Amino acid sequence: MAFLRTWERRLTAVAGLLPVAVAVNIGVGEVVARLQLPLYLDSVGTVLVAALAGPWAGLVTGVLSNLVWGLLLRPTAAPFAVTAAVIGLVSGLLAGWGIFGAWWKALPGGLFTGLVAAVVSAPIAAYVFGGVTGGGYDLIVALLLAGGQGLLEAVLTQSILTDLVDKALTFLIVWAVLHNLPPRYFERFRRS
Amino acid sequence: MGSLVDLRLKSLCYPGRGPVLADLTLGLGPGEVVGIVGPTESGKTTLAYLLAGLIPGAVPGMASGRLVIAGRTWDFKGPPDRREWLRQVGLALAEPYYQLSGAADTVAEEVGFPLENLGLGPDRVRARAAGLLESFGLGPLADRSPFQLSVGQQQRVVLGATLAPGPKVLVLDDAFDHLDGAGWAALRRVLTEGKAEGKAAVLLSGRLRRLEGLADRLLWLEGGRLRPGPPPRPAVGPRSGPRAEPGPPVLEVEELWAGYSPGEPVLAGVSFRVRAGEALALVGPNGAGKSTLLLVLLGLLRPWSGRVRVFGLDAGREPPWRLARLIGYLPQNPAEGLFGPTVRDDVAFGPRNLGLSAGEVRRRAEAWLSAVGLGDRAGRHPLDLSPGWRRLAALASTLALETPILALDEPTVGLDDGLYGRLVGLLGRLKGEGRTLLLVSQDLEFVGQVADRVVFLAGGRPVGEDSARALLSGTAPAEGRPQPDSPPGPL
Amino acid sequence: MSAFVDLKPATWTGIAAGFFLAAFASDEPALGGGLLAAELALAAASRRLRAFLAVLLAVLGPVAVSLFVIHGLLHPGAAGVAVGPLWVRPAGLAFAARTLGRLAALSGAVLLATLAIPPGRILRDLADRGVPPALAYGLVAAVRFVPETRARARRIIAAQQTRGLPLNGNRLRRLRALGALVRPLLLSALVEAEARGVTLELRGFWVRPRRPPAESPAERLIRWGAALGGALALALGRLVFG
Repeated sequence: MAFLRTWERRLTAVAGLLPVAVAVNIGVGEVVARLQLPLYLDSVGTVLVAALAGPWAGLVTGVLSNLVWGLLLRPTAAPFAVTAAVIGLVSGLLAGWGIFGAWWKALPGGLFTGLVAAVVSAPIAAYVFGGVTGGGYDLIVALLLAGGQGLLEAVLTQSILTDLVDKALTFLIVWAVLHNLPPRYFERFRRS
Repeated sequence: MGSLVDLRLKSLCYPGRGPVLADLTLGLGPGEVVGIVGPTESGKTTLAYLLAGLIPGAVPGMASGRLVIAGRTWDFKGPPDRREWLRQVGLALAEPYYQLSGAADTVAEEVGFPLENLGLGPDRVRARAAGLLESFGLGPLADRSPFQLSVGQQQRVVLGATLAPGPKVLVLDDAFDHLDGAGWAALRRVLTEGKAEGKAAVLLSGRLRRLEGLADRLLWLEGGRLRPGPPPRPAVGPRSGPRAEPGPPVLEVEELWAGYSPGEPVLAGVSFRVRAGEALALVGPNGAGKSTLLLVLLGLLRPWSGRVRVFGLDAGREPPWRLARLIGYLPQNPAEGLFGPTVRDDVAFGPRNLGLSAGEVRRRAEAWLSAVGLGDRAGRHPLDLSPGWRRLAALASTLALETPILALDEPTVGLDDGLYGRLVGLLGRLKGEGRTLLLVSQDLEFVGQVADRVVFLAGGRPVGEDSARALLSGTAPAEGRPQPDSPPGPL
Repeated sequence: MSAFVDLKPATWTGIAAGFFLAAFASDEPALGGGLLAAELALAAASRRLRAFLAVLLAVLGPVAVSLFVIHGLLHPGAAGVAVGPLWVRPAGLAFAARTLGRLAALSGAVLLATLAIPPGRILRDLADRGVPPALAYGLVAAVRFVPETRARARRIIAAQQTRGLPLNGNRLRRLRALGALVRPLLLSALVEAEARGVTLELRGFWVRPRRPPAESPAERLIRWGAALGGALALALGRLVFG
């Protein structure tokens, strides 16, 4: 019970940030669509929260994002809540080790997070979804299968390719946002 | 000292910074409405937060002194009991969207939300909410989502939610910019009724004009201290006339039809011309299509039919980033586009996009930063500026494009008297340089000071054109005049 | 009809959880199909059948196509059979069928809860049950903020173009534009978050009393029964069928 209460107190300070960050995870899709880039960037809000408020807040933001995608009538996001949680957790831990202090630290941090995300989501994608999404990335999987790879292998390869770039860019963007940010934002959202 | 509100503040600082407010005393008796004029960065919002029991607490900070409201004392050693304080003080701030909790499905629920949180039973919550909805003219909107309303309607919802717990003191921090006609009427009613019931109100604003007519007493916040009496009246510079005879037409709109959803035109056959060096104002009620017209001129919205020419170029075919060399645009929420990391970087953003040399980019950034008055704040992050200064930073960013035409959409919102004067002066100077100005504004004083010509837009089409002088003297066409959104006072 | 329409959000969540877990109980497509049928029945009972079908088809349609095409032709380690000009793998088709069945049951479970729960009730129900109010609030508020955030993203896209930012060109140029479009969105999120924190405090959200709602024992039974039943089915299914 005491554990819950300290946890709760942290969340109080961050409560205004969580839903807004989730909305950004979803809203950034407008930018990606307009630029017609083969990216998602759908964890950019999660990583921002993780950097400001810590790994648990990041984890919660990730899970909430998937639940909200569900509420927005995309039920197929639900199994990937695990991935989203892991991204939030890992980003927060890396942030605690100063990964957002410089862009040349953020970049490998993003690559690493992308790798972890790919490794976590590949089994889910392979088992629950048979490796397909119904979108363009399926062509990559098809090519890899035709080349003789096993299903999990193919999905993992595809995931790694896309997630590395996606998360690296995400980390760079978050670094740029945090760069020179007035200290009060760090104080306001940091867990007590 | 005041019997209802008695504030004696020795000092208040934010963590790691010097005092924002110092040696401040404020007293109000029942039935008093005090207006406090505070320029940007004067500590206005800080004072509002303090009165509402937010510092220290939800907003980190340290204060020493004490505040007594209706006999209850708070010594600033920690946050006050929120349940109690809600019934003492109600606070409404500037941006209605940020004050919609997000926890309610409908307008009725949003207004009743604080009552639920105070533990009232559902029947009482419903009853009180219904009463508040009535008095703010929100009855027909009761079952709508607050997020689907217009800004003016949202501001009324926010006022309703603020007054729901029945606070004895109402504090409004610059909550006037987005009030629509119904909102002003409701506010006046609330203040009158409140006075009769022995309540009090503290109205804070950066513009003296907003408070005249509402407040019994005027105070002035400067350098973190309250001074009695209104501040010196802002100097109203001479009207800037056009530099010379207007030149050839630079903007030509012919029979323009445009809208966002097929079958629902927002602009229905608009035709007009703007000549080089002219300052034209587009004036009209909300939804008349003024902002939409700008979007078409900028290449952001394709016309359904009609011709739109900017310096001879077809705005319906050019991409916006190419038209950006001809028309500089300041949108309604200009600070949304800023991303730093410094103000200087934002002002340099435009020139960089134009492909200018590094030296020229630097020159323009410095020139327009100082023209606007941000020279000494150029190294700060945009979020480190007050909202008023952030708007001017966005303006500097637009000016740095050094375009022959400038299109400004509601540029005076959120500016205090000082920054407003800066804006008017700057626009006057630009007119002197021969720039063409296109202004969309509900602020008739501003239009009168800067524009040469006024086009009235209503229902998607112009309903009259006149000189700005005619607008001020009241001889301009009545139809299409915007609802007065500010208290009657000297223009 | 009325009994079904009025279940509490937590009950629907329990039911959905039950279906979700049960979907993993075995690989038989019949299981997926059966669960889906049950979900359809419940959707119909809550008068959300049309929306349920529309969304499910829209979401799973492309997935189904990909599944059958890719696995029918390229499923690894499966023997092929010539069918006209194509080399089809029946094992792959079977795999696609199983996967689709399970996926439909899973997605259907989430969709069922989403459609059946009136969104306004979620906050009250969860917060009053002891879920930390910040989490319950985070969930419902996020949904409500999405439209304006999307609109803000579009406004930023428009504004930056008028500051000369080109959005066409090769991939590298478009990539460069990314920062100028996403960073303002994140910064405005911080501004909004700061302001909303103040709003929540001003509305007294943190002193909200927590009263677990009165509910019928029948609802509690349904909720826990469904969830546990699903978990049990999963365990049994895996033990018995491998």
